[in-house]
Amino acid sequence: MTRLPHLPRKRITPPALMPPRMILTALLYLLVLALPAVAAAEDLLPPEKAFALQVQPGGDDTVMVHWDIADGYYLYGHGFEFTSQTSGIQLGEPRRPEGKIKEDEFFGQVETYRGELDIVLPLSRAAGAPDTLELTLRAQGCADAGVCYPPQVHTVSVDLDTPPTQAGGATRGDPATPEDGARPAPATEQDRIAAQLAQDNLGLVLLAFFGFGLLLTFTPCVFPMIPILSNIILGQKTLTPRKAFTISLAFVLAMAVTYTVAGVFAGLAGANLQAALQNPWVIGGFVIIFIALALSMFGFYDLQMPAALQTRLSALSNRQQGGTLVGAAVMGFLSALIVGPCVTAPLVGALLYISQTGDAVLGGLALFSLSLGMGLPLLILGTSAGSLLPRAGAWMDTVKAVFGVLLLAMAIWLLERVAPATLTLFLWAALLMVSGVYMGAASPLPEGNRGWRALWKGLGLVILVYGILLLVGAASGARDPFHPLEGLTAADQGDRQGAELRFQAVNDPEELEQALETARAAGQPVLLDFYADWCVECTHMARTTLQDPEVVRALSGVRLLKADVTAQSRAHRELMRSFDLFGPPAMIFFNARGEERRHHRLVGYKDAEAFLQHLHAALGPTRDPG
Amino acid sequence: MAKRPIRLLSLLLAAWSMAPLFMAPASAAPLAGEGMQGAQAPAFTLPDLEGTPRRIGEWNGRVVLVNFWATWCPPCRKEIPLFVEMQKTHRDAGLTIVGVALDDPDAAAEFARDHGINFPVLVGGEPRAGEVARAYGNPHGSLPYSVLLDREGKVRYIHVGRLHRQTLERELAPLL
Repeated sequence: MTRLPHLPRKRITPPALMPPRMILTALLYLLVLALPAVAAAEDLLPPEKAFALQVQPGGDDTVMVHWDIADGYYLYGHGFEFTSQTSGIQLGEPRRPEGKIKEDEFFGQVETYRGELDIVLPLSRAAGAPDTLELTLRAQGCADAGVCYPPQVHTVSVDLDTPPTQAGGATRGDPATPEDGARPAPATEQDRIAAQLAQDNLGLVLLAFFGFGLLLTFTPCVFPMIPILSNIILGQKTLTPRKAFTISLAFVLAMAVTYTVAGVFAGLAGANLQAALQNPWVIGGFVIIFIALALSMFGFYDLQMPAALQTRLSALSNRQQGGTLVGAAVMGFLSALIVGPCVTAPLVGALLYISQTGDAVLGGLALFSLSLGMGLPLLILGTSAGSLLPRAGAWMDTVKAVFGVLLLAMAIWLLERVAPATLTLFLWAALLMVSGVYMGAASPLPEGNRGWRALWKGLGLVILVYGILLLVGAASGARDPFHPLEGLTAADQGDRQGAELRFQAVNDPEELEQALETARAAGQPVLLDFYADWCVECTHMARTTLQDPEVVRALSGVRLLKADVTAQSRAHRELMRSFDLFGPPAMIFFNARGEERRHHRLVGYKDAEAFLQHLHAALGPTRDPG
Repeated sequence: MAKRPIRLLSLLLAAWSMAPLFMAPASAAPLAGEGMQGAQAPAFTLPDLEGTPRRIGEWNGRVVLVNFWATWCPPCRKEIPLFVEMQKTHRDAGLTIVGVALDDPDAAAEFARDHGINFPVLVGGEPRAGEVARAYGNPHGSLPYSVLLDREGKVRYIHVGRLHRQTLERELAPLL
C-alpha cells in the first residue's frame, strides 16, 4: 500500500511459486524491492499512520485530541468535525491553534496543519451523565505527493476521569496519563499484531516472534523434522558435537531463510494465501504429504534424500563436510514446505504488516526470528546428537507412532475443509479405533508387570469407545466430532428450535449495504456474522453461544446478518476485504445509526457470558425496553 | 513503558489462540493495484448524477478511463479540465471517461455543472464508491486515482495522484 506510486511502472507480477534454484534470484529481487520501500519519499502511508490519532481526557471537563501528522502530510482546518454520541454530554466549541493559511485555487484561503496538532474539546455534562464519552471525530487531509484521503471518521470511547462524588474540586488523576483515557480504537486482533510490529521496539518484536516459533515446535508439522535431522546426523561416520552443531545449524538456517523469503514474498506480492489454502488441490497436496509422513513414522520407509541427489550434492562440493552441509541445507529447505500449513496463522500479523507498510525488512526479520524459534529445539536436539537425539529402539517407535497418528489427524482435519462431514467423521472414527486397538484395547494384559501396560490399555479403550461412538455418529448423519450422537438425540433439539436466531444472509457488499440501510431506517443495531462451514470456531459458536437462551434474548432487538463465506467466492472476498478481514470467524457490530463499532469487533470464540458482556459493551442494552 | 511486556504477552496469546484456525484466516491485504494489471475490471453499479443506476459494463467496447475523484480533493479538481478536454478530443476514437465521485451527489453535480464535465459521473459516498475504489485496488480510497481499461474491459494502467497530459496520451495511444 505504501508502494502506490510505484505501481504504474511495475507491470509484471512475479510468480508466487518458483523452483528452488530461483530462490536466490528471488532473494536479490526482494532486496531490490525492499530497499526503495523503506526509503522512498513518495510512498503513501495508510491514513491511520499518516494521521495518527490519540484521544485522552483533559482536566476541567475537556477532552484532548491529538494528531501526529506524518511528514509530507497535512490536515485541513475546515475538515474537522466532532460529535458526542453520548446523551447527557455535549461538546462546546473546539479550541484549535491557528493553522497555516494556504492559498488554494479552488477553496481560496484554507487552513492546514502539519506535524503535531492538539485540539481541546470542552464538555458540558448533564447531571447523571455517563462517565464514558463516545466521541466521533472526522478529519480530512492530503499528502504532498498530490493525493488526498477520504474524510477519516473515528469513534472512540473516552473514560472521563470522574472526580470523587463527595467533594467537588478533589484531586483528579493526572490528565496526561494515557492509561486513564481512551486509546484510539483498538481494532481487531490481527490489526493489533500488525500495529504491534509497528510500535514496539525491534528487540521485543523479534523476541515475541521467537516465542511464537518455540510454541510452534509443539505442532505436528515440526515432528517429522526430528527423524529427518536425526537421519542426516546419525549418518555421519565421524561425529563430533561441533560437526553435529554445524549440520543442524545449516538445516535450521536453510529452513528459516526459505520460510522468511517465501513469507516476505507472499506479503509483498499481496498473495491471497487464504484463497490458495482453500483450494482443494492445495489441501489435497498437504493431506498427501501428511499421510506420506505418517506412513514413514510408522516405519514403512525411511525419509531420506534420494541417493542420486545426495551423490550429486557431495560431488558439487570438494570437501566431504561441505557436501553434508549442502545436503542438510537442502533438507532444511524441503522441510520448510512441511511446516507451511502450521505457521500460516502467526504469519498473518507479519504478512499484514509487510503488505500494509511495504517494510519488508522488519516483517522479514520477524518471520526469520519466528523460524529460528521453531528451529531452536531442533538445533539442541541435533547438537546433542548422541544423548538427546532419538535412537532406534522400542520407545522411539512408540514416539514415532504417536507422531504418525497426530499427522494423520492433521490430514483428516485439513480434509474437513473440502470433504463431506460424514466422510471425515468416519475417518476420525477409523483413526481412533485403529489407534485404540494398537494401544492394546482389545488384547489381554500380560500376566504380571501390568503397571503402565494397564494404563496404556485403559487409554486405548477410551479412544476405541469414542471411535465407535463416532462411527455410530457418522452412520446416523452427525457432522460434529464433538457431538457424535447429534443425529440420535434429535428430540432434544425440539425445545431449542423456538429459541433459534434468525439471520439474514448477505453475500456481497451491495446486499450488506441494503441490509444496513434497512436497519438504519428501522433504528436497529446490527450484528454481522462472518461464518464458514470449515471454520471450527464459527460452528462451535453457532452451536453453543448463539443457542444460549440468554444470548438469544439479548439479541432480540438486533438485526442479524450472516455472511456465509464457505464458498469463498469473489464477492465474499470483496466483502471480507472491505472489513480488512482475513476470514471467519468475525462478528462486526453496527450501532442504530449504522456506524460500525470498529473497536468492538469480535474475532474468535466467546462463551455465552463473555459474549453477553461484549454485546453490552458494543451496542449497549439491546433488548427493546418493555 | 511498563505496559510493553503486557502488550507483548497479549500479542503472543492472540497469535497463539489463532493457531487452530490456521487454514481459515490467511490473507494479507493486497498492495494497491497489485495483480490488477491485465485483470478484468471488477463489475460495479452506481447511480449517475441523475440518479440512474449505471453499470461499468455499459461501456464495454470502448476504452474507459475510470477516474476516482471528489470535490474535497484539490488535486482531483485540478485534473478535471484535462479530462474534459481529452474526452472531447478522443471521443470519436473510442474514449469514455467515467468519473466515480466519493462524494455527496449534490456537491458532485454542482461541480460537474460548473466545470462543464462532458462524461458520465457516477457517485456514491463512502462506503459505496469507496468500495468500488477498493475493488479497483485502492485500499484507502486515496484520490485522485485513475484506472485505464482497454476495449475488453481489462486493466491496462493504474495511476495514483494527478494524471498529467503526457502520461495519459502515452498510455492511451496504444489502446485507441
